[in-house]
Amino acid sequence: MTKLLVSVENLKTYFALGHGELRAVDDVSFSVRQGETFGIVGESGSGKSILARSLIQLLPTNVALRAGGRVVFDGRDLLALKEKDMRLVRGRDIAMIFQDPLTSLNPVLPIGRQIVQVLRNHTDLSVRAARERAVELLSEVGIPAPRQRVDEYAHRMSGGMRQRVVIAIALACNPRLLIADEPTTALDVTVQAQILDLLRRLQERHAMALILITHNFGVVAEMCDRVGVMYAGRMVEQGDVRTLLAKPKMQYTRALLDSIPREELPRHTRLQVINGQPPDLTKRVQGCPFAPRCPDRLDRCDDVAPELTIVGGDHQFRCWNPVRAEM
Amino acid sequence: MRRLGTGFFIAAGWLILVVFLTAMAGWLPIDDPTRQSLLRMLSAPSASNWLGTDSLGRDILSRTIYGFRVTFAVSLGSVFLALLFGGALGMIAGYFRGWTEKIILAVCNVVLAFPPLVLIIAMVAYPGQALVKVITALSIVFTPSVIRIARANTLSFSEREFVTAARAVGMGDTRLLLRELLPNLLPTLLSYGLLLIAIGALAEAGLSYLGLSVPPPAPTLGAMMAAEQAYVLEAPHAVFFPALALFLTIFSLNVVGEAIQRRINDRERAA
Repeated sequence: MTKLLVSVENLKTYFALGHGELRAVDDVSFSVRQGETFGIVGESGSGKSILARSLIQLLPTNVALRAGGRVVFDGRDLLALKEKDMRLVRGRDIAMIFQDPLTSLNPVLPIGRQIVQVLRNHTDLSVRAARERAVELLSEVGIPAPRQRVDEYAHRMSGGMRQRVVIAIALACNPRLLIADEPTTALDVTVQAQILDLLRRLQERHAMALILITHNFGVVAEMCDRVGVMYAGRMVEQGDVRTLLAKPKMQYTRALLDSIPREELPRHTRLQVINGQPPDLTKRVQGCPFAPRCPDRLDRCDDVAPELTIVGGDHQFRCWNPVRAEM
Repeated sequence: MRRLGTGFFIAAGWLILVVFLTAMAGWLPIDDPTRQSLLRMLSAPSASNWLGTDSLGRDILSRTIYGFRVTFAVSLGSVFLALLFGGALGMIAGYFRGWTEKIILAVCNVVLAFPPLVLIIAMVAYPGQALVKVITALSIVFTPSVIRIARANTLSFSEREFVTAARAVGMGDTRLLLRELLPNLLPTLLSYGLLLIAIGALAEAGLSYLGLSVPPPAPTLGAMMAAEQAYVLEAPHAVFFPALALFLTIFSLNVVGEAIQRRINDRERAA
């Protein structure tokens, strides 16, 4: 088994709001091995993005927050690092790409300059060498005629091209972990496939681990080795991607999988939906957060939070009434 | 993109001419602006004195050109200082938020609540070099509005994802402010600065009219008009020409400033 790269232990990120504490990430633990792809799925507002940003401490600075737990990367606890030291980790060891390539590039700087800045920030390359490297990076992420494009502005490029530039910036210093926060959500389906393909190729070439945040199980099945499901700030189930998709244990995971449209069903079949709303994260929940929407709820689900159950070595879930293997 | 039009080029041409004349004033074949001659008091425009002379027989063309020197020094100097300090403080307030922002905005409000003329009179009454005092006073008057514009723009740009993205690759606060945010603020700040230059020039003329700018014998446009007011019926040229030159200059500054602002807006919409 390959070495562990990151292990997240009981990570908590609570925001202090006027009317209470918002538990955006509540006691989440998982780990990612070197070169592995870990998927995080969940619906909007389940805490996926905040979880990702908590890892490299990129949270909004204008809200008071309380953090707990540990994020051990390479033997160091990132949460204990000072901002100054954290800055050295960001971009060099861990890079992150965001959902919307339209807004994640600076509109008034040529794309080449933005890559050069990152390189100069973390390495002692000269401006010229950094520029050469920027051209190399652009060609590596599949941008045609990189030497001409390097001085171009982001608004002259398509969404897919911009996301490629964003990836080039992220890869500039050969990070060992890339966090991709819904990297394809804002793109066309055909472009999505190209970007995912690119990510996978780059990941192999650079032996880089990837944390992929998405709400698309298709992407998970295609890309990930292991996957975690988030609901209401908690990681309710995680495990090997094949086991989890074929034999989900947690009721929420099953409900999510059931709500995917299927090709084999006749046309105009009603889509399966999960009734109800995700809970208000400022209210403390006694039992399982999914209980009010759960079709197979037991009495104790409302009162006692389910404990972590582990089956088959790696498959973990929190549910009092797990889905039984049907077939 | 809209065309700039003839009006813009006439205005820009006038400004270039005025700037050229004031910059080259020392080398131009014009009279010494302080040379008095009782023989040619209030003489009408002629071949030797193109715009005539004033009540002390001084050449009005040369005094107008030298007067613009003071006007431009004051308006450019005060706008430069206001953009420098206002921009920096505004960006700091908008970027760091919290207590820093509260303090900066509170000071801003205090300055805004102060009547500008009283502030300027108080400053000018203080001993020291007149030009420096006027520039400082006007820049203090201009700074709060620059702070507000810089802060508002920093706030809106800080929320954009590219700032988070830049933080995600390990950029520090200084680099973020200077490399990521400043280039985005520059167009807005500079186009506001252009309008401030017109306001500053007008303010200098007003102050010198009241005798609050650089003291005589140095020629200033306002002081020229104030001094020759008494003879306006016998020798209207002594008041008219400096006033006309000032009017054309302010008007041109506004035309050019507005055209540039429109350009920037168009470009931002296109991007």
